Amino acid sequence: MPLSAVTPAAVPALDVRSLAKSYVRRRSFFQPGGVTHALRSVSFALAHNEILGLVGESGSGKSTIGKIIVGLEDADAGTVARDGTVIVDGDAGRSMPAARRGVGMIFQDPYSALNPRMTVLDIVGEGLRIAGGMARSAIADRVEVALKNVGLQPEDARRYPHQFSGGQRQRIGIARSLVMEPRVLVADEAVSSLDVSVQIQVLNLLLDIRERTDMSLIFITHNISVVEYLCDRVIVLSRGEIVEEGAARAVIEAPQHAYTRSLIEAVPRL
Amino acid sequence: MHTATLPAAAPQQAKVVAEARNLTLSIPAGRERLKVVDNVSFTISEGEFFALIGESGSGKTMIARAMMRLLPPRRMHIDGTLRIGGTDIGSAPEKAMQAMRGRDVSMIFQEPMTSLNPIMTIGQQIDEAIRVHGEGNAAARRDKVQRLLTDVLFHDPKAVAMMFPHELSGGMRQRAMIAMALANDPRLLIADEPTTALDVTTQHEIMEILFRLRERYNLAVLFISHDLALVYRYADTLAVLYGGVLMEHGPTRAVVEKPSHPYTAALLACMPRFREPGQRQAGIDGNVPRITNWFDGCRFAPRCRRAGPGCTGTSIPLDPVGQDRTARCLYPL
Repeated sequence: MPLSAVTPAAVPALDVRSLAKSYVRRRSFFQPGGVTHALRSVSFALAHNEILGLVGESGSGKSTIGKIIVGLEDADAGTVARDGTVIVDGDAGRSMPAARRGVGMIFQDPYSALNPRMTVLDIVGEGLRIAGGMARSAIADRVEVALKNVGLQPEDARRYPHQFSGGQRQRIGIARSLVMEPRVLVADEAVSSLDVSVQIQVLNLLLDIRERTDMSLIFITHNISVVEYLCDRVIVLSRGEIVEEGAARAVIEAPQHAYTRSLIEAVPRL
Repeated sequence: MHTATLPAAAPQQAKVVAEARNLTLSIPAGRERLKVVDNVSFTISEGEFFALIGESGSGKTMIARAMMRLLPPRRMHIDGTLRIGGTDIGSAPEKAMQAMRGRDVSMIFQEPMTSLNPIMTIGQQIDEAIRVHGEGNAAARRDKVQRLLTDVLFHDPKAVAMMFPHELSGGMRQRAMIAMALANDPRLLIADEPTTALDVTTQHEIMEILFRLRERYNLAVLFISHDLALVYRYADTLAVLYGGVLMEHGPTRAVVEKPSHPYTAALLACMPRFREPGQRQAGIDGNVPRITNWFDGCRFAPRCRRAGPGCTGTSIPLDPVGQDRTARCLYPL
């Protein structure tokens, strides 16, 4: 795929243009058929080392964006470029294989996202093993570094997921993404199922990682308080469209769109 | 929908609906018994919005289940006193419990879809709930179904009564569950994290409905949650649980604005909010202790920055720390 000719400094980490996605609902016993427009021409850019929040209700399309970027869904139209390289081309119906995109993902539920029969070493090292070309010992070294980066111990590599608490499991999920050295990390409701004391630990970990590396983060959530704490910028989605976009603090303190206001008012804050 | 204003504390002379005194709950684990709730006392009065706050494993759901006695007495031992209305939950025969469930106390859960019957309409299910306690003729019951669905803010109760659960959204299902829980005019509604699985806007809707119902019917609500911000907006009274022990108890506003127990303060410090660049909220070091490692004394002590001599070893009394407030701490804030 062609590299863009622009200088690297001006190229955003992620350039999303006119992304569209719709689902054909099959007629069933439960519902009539039809077309659901999950995304209607969404465009935004993610700067290097930026933390961008995507907020909206269920069905607003925020998760669909994340899935398209990492390669769990295809786009109907529009493009996504990572550091100038097109990774998703919905118009041409072509996309780069997910493993080569330099994009990682962490999921909502740390209990179901980890294979209970694999050790932490195998879980975290799986991506490297599949990518190939690395000796076992080299993989083990990379896993050890990744575990250290998320605050786990080297000996944790030999243990199984059930031996960890919820927060530790979410750290394992983060380590699994980090070991691939992604340029962009997509976190879909990554702290929603965690206890508040664990939630703040994971948020602080993401802030630490951002400081130590030049990784960029897309944080998908419906929790405005988390956006307040974590994000530099926020995009508000409603029914597959961006209704508001701006610096997180400015948007939350003075929302311009009625939908944003209702979303913010609905969340009790201290 | 309007945002509820912060309520004043419930009037003191109001009638007590539920009372726990030195309540200890234990479940069998191999040959031993594990205390999942240890020496907890509180009362809930008519019309009171009472919040039980705690992280996973703190015992909050166990207390709710004990109040309905959803686990048989040989599985879950109830020691101390647990009374709802006039019934002693620890010793009441199962028949008395059956008569009480739904009529004196009712419960809604986190995932409404698993509690609804997929092959019955909403109307039929509410009607069934009314009939369990054998009330009224068909016409009276039909009117009641309509009224209950109107109470939970369905604009077209007739249409909703004829719908099946799969035709409703998550929030609508939870509203249908609330209507069903209120079918026999209970005096206490237990809501166990009823909004955790829902969107923020739907959560807001459900909270406003609960808040209104308690005003209209003088209903007592035992609201179980881990979200202090949510509770701050709606609850009159707050009880904070940690490791099966009641750490702090008092009027919500006073407790949240000036916590006495270091754990309450630590929980508040975990709630994300705006921060200046480069700054971090501290959170709580370490992990929640596993139930098998519980010990006498303050179970929060190993993670507490104020912990000193005497915090571990012997149990800490629940001392008054202000008007209607108690905290179980030797070094309160």
